[in-house]
Amino acid sequence: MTNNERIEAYFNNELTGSEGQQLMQDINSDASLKSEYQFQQGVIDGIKDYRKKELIARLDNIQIASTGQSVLLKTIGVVGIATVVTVGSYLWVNRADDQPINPAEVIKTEEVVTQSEEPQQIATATEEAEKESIVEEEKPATKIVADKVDTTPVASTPKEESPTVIPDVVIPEVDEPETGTSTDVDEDLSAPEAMAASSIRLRSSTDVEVKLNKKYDFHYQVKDGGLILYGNFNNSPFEVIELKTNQGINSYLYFEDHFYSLTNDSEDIKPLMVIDNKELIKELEKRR
Amino acid sequence: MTEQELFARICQGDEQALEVIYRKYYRMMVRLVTSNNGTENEAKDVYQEALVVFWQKANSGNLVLTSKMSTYIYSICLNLWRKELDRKKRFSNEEKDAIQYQEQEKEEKVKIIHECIDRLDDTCKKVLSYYYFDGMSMKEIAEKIGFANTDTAKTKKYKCKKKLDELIKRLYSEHDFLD
Repeated sequence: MTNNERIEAYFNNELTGSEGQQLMQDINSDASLKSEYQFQQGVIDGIKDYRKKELIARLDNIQIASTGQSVLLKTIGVVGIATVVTVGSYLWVNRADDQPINPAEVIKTEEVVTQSEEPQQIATATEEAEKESIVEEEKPATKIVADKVDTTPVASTPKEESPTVIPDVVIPEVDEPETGTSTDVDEDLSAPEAMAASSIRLRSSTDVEVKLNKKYDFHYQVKDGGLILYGNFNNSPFEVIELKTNQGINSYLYFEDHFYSLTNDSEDIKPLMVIDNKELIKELEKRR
Repeated sequence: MTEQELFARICQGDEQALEVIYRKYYRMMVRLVTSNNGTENEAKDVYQEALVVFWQKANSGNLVLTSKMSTYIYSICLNLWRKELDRKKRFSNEEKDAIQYQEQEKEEKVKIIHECIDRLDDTCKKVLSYYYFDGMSMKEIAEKIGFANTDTAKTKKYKCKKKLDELIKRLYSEHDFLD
């Protein structure tokens, strides 16, 4: 075995213990052998280092966010999730409370309005009303409130507004000023206040609000001068009719062939109670 | 992939498994160093060094894990970082300069060898790396590279080593290379 082969065998762990010791002694005494040993040692170290750097380069190419970035990302993530949850909850609650306007509903409501009176007829009625006496102006005021319709006016003919004595309806007082919210129709037609009090007209859509609520499925609430209906009122048109009496204005809701009493004595949410008084129903039917 | 499967793949020389482990324990190992007066870059260096040590031991076939793989790697990281902290504390500035000079000299020699290895073909690079660094047997090298048998691998290794030696000796004088 040559010296080079001995060195090679040494680095390959192929020498026995005694052979290895002998080689070390020879290296210490032979300069050329020592030189070859150092050369081989350097080459093998170089090969190992080459492979090590190769592996480290491979690991170094793996993209991992730094811990600082990680904290930032986590923070952003938490804030993002919190925002999504908050917005989601808000939208969910609002979805339950504020059903979006259904175009079909608007169309239906407009149909109701159209069925009541044409704008031209309102003008005629107003002109006629201006000529009528104070007694005529004492007639009960009736309003139709069509939800989601702002501009389409509606009115009944003055002839329909004859005073009627109904047990539930108090005879309206003379010259009682209009206490309801003024409307676009009133302003547009410049109707006298007394006439306005006895006419049927639309109110702003902001006066009536429909809300879906799990707890209240067929209820109402009079709040801040506006009416809030709780339940599914979006499939059929509804009307709010006000009858002016000497005790004030009584409001009624007409919905799906029934009239319901609306009291505004408190802002509590109350169930809608159907009216079964035939005379009142008859009167309300007239006012529609 | 379970820890046992990962370890088995590491022992077979699967470098992709090493990448999986690197990602898996990165934060744990980096935290070890950064919570002990180290920077993230130092932590990264220590962790990579530790994984290379782990790789080498696992590939040699002599490593039997008696704990979780993460515990073993963690202990390597800890030792390496302690060693580094000790080195930082122990040496004066003059000593550090002397060590730095020696390291630079060594690096120059290593650089020469690396340049020569780069001139070898890929098979030679693999055979020499697997044999000298990974500690694979000729049988394992034959299987991994696809040689017909261990004798072919052995012959290839001999020829590659000889070629590298000649390349180094031809391109660089003995004075450049040796002390």
